[in-house]
Amino acid sequence: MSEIILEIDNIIKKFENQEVIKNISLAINKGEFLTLLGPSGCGKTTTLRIIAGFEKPTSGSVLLEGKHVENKQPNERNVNTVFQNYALFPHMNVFENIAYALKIRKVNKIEIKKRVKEMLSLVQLEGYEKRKIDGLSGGQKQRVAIGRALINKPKILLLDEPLGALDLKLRKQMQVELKKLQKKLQITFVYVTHDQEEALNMSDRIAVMNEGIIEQIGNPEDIYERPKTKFVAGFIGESNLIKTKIKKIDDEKICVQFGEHEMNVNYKNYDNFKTKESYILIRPENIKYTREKPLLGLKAIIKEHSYIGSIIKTTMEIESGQEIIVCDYDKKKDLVGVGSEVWMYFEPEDVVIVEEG
Amino acid sequence: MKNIKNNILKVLTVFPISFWMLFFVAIPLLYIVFISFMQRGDDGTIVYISTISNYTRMARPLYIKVFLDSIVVAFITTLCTLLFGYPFAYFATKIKKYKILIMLLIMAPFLTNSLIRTYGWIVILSTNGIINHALLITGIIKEPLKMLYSYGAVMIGMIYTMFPFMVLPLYNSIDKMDKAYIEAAKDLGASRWKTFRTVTVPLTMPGIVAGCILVFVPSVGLFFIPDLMGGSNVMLIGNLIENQFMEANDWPFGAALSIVMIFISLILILVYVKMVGKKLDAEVF
Repeated sequence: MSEIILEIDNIIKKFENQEVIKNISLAINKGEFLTLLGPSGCGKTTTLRIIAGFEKPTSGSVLLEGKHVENKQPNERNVNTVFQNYALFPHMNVFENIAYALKIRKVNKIEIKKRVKEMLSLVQLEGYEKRKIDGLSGGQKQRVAIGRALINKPKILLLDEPLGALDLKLRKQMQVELKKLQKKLQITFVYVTHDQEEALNMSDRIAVMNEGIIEQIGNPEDIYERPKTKFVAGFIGESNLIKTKIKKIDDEKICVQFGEHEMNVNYKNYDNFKTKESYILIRPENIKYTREKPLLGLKAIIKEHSYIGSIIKTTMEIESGQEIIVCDYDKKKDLVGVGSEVWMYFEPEDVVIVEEG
Repeated sequence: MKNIKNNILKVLTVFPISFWMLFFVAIPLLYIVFISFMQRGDDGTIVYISTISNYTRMARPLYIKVFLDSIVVAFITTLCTLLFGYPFAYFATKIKKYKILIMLLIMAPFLTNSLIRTYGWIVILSTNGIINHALLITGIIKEPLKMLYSYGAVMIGMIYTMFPFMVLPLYNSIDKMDKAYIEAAKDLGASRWKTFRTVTVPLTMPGIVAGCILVFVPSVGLFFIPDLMGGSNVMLIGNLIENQFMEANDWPFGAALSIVMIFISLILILVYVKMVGKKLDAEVF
């Protein structure tokens, strides 16, 4: 087990009467890339601001390297932030922006020059020292913001949707660069985003948040392949959720209702089944369909085929009236015509049972 | 057709302003310039013989002192309104709930004539005014204090009158500043004071410059406050000019003084703009 750098313990945050964070506990490992993922209003930015020190938790504690910091000012903790809209000082040039934290700490001028130069080369902005902030592109501003936050060698770098303002291509490129930078510097990154693809692509671990709580925390594969709740399943990737009833649970398998049949599914993530509704989660790429009746399947009617670049997306309706989405990578295959009746089926090991959040 | 219609519209919108500027600003100003080079007749009329004596006369130490005093008074007024106004505006932006109330309090004095408000100060400060009365009754002093008719009294009146002109642009620029900059500075290790000095002040500079100009320029020429609250002990350019027109009947000299005052104001504005803001945010005006 690696060393824990930051521990959040039973944090609650209320704004006036609204409880933005209901109860969060989280331990972040040293050198880890952790992403807080969730829809807007889920409390992810507030959590980040509590770590940075801009907000005080209503109750609970924040421990940075084992020391309580929840009542400390932002300038008293060795944690730096890359802000959503960068918040670069417009009255300073690139050099002055990056050097700001060093000047505040009264580092001597020669040292400042040396370290800013190193930082500029790290974020690939050599020769931009004298540039005005106004004259930089979005991607360049992003690099300055990262350089400015990293110059103090923070214990943790907090990033609040840093790529939100960039276009898709640049965003992809910056994702790769950020990940590389993080690996090289071995600094703990806590990254906030609502973009699930970004989270899956970059993180060591993802904490999926919803309405002020963490629904699930785990590595990207866990989150995608073995979501625990309906919310996580729906938020990460495309998913089909078919309502089911749990019939029997033994050591290895769960037996669930599937149409008229009962089906044995691998245990995987399921651990709470008492009161809540259960669903079978099937990813669109795991569903197949045929005209002949399979051993275990549901009758469906093809509604639509749509062509989305690398895949063909088929929408079909099962007897309950629910729409099921199927993705097919084999584009040369003959498509079954719209309106025809088919049987959809899948391998039991490809599905997971999830519960209401 | 559309073009002609557009042109008519343009003329109609521009005309009233041009008319106003021409007849109420440009022509009177040119007239003042013109008579400043004329002479005063013995009966106080203007004699149309050109001269520069009105300007050379100003080099006398008496008049130079008046000019310097005026500039010093205006400077101190600007400095004091800035020192009081900045914290005031800063905290006003913090309490969003009472924003309208605070703005109303700042604007309220404008509803009353400033001359009447100045009389209010006289009532408060005069030898048998409220303050002296209260101090005499409580036995703190035996003799009434002489507060009115001094530079101090003029300063109080000026600061009071000019305060809103400083606060409004300051409030505007402090309120407009993105609070993320302050958070960024704190995040990077700056204390409250360092954040204020290195981020808040530079970023609100447009408001500071605007406020200073809006206070300084009128302060140089303000005549009724020194007149009413300074009496015969205080002589500033505004009073001097007023005297030339109203009492001494020396219109040419009064005109020359006015021209010099306008130039001093313009030069100071220019210096200000050059000094603080290469790229002045014009929105605050």
